[in-house]
Amino acid sequence: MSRSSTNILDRPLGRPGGRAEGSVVSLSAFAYIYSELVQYHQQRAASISELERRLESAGYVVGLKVLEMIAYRAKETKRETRLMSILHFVSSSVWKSLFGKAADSLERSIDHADEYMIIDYEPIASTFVSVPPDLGQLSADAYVSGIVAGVLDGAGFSARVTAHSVQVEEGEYTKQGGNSIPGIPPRKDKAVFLVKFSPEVLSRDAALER
Amino acid sequence: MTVHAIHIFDRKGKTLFTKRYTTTKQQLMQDAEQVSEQRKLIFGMLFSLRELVGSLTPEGGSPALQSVKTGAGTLHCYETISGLRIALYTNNNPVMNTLPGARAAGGESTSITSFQTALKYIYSEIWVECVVRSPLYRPEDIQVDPLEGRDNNAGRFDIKSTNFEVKLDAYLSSMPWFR
Amino acid sequence: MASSKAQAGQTLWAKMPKANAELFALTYGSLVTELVRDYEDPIEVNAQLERIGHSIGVRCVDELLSKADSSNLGSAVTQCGNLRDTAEVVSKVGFRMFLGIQAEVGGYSQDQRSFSIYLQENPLSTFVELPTIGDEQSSSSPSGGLDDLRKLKYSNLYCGVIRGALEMVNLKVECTIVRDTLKGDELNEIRVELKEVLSDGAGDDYKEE
Repeated sequence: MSRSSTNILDRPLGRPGGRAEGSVVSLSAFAYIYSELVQYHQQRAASISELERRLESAGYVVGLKVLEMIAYRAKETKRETRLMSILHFVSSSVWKSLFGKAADSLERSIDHADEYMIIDYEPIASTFVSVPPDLGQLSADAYVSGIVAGVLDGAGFSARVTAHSVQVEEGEYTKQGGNSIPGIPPRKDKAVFLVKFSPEVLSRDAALER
Repeated sequence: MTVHAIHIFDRKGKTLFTKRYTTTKQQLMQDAEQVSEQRKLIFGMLFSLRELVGSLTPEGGSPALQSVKTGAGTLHCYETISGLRIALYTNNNPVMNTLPGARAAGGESTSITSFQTALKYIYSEIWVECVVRSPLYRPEDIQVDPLEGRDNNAGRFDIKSTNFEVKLDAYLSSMPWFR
Repeated sequence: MASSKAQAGQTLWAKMPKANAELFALTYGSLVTELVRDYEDPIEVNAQLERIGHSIGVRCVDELLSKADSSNLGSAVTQCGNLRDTAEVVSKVGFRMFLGIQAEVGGYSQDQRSFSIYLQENPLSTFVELPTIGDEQSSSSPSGGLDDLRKLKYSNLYCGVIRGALEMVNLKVECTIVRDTLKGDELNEIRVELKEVLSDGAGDDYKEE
């Protein structure tokens, strides 16, 4: 994505490479590429936390680009300045354009005023991952948390975003349709993206409140 | 229990996955090396039989090997075009062994799933979905861990996708012929 | 015959769960960026992309075969009598089913041992312009500079995927990207050359005895 080039600037951003906006590839194709990204970083990471950090930073760069893209396409000149509206932007617009659906819920932490949670019951990045025991608590959704951090940071809301896999409680959520195999329990984990805003973001938002 | 064991081999005969569902006294005494030697013999037999059958099959017929039967049990096998072989060792179940696979595959709701259909299902819905698509699966990394082969986990490999085994077990045990 | 493969490809594509093409392109971009940063030499990056593609190819062939089989398209897809059939499956079924794009096949050589796959659109290279130095966020630019990256074959992944997938069905091929829209060509062309038809055989484990 070099800015020094000329040719790409002649192409409309809305329809990259001549493909219509919102075009799709198979989830498998994404899964294969993502697989390779995870493997590549895994070979170079000394620990699980380093692997997660590498995936996060890969996602961060993507997040910055995603923000530009969506903001451009929204054809709105206004910029989100409030904390809640940027969170809604992430959990609806960003989620929809990347994953084809809005996030399942957006919650505010009860214990910490600076923490919010974006919850996805069927996170794309870990759809095909089952973490083997020797990798401990690797969260394959780290990449997505990096994207979220990139979007937020790019919009001027710097935050620390972490991905957590949380057990879904009985009856909390049932997948609609799908090709569930008889006798096999559905997916048991949901992905929780914990967004912890930095203090200056919170104080700025508090100032805007007045 | 009807199902004794399942083995999955790659095209070169390397074991990708193996699991025992029943253990006999004889098997308990075998060490990891013997078990692995036995799997080599199984693959070797399937391989040679396929070659032989291929040369016997008339033009246009399907040379696919489906099962090998002895007085004590039946080895059901399914080979994919990509060379993956799934072998399921069961005892001889008179009902199941006479059940024509075609009828079961035909979608009759009352029919019991034939072994061929089941093996195909294991390949396309469980292996492909769980193993092939897992980011952590690297075909070249699958290895026998000789130190682990003693206890209950006898001969189990690090398939790097725990979901596969869970789903496989759930699927097999949902089959009427599992027990 | 050719149209039945195109139809099979369309049927399979319709059944595949989908993912956003931009997320796909950006994720691939992030992988390439990482490779460029780590290896610096574009020739080495090309080789790595090919290697990564190979690892994808050996896996996705299983998905293609099993999906075709369970959709009762087995015979249209899996019975390849000659390289022409195989070429049709790779382009009409493979590219269609995974990427949703139209790929054309042609340019068969006299001896029928090589052919070309033509792609009008390339989902991998959405947003890309060469030469590129990753993006603004890269902490370190490769020392080689811009000129060097002209040698980068951004979509070299395809070559590996095709090689890996065909290897699993006993065809040893070599692929090269001969035309690339990123380099100013009007379309992407991947040349596939059959090197050897492999025979079934057991691995090294079986050779010692």
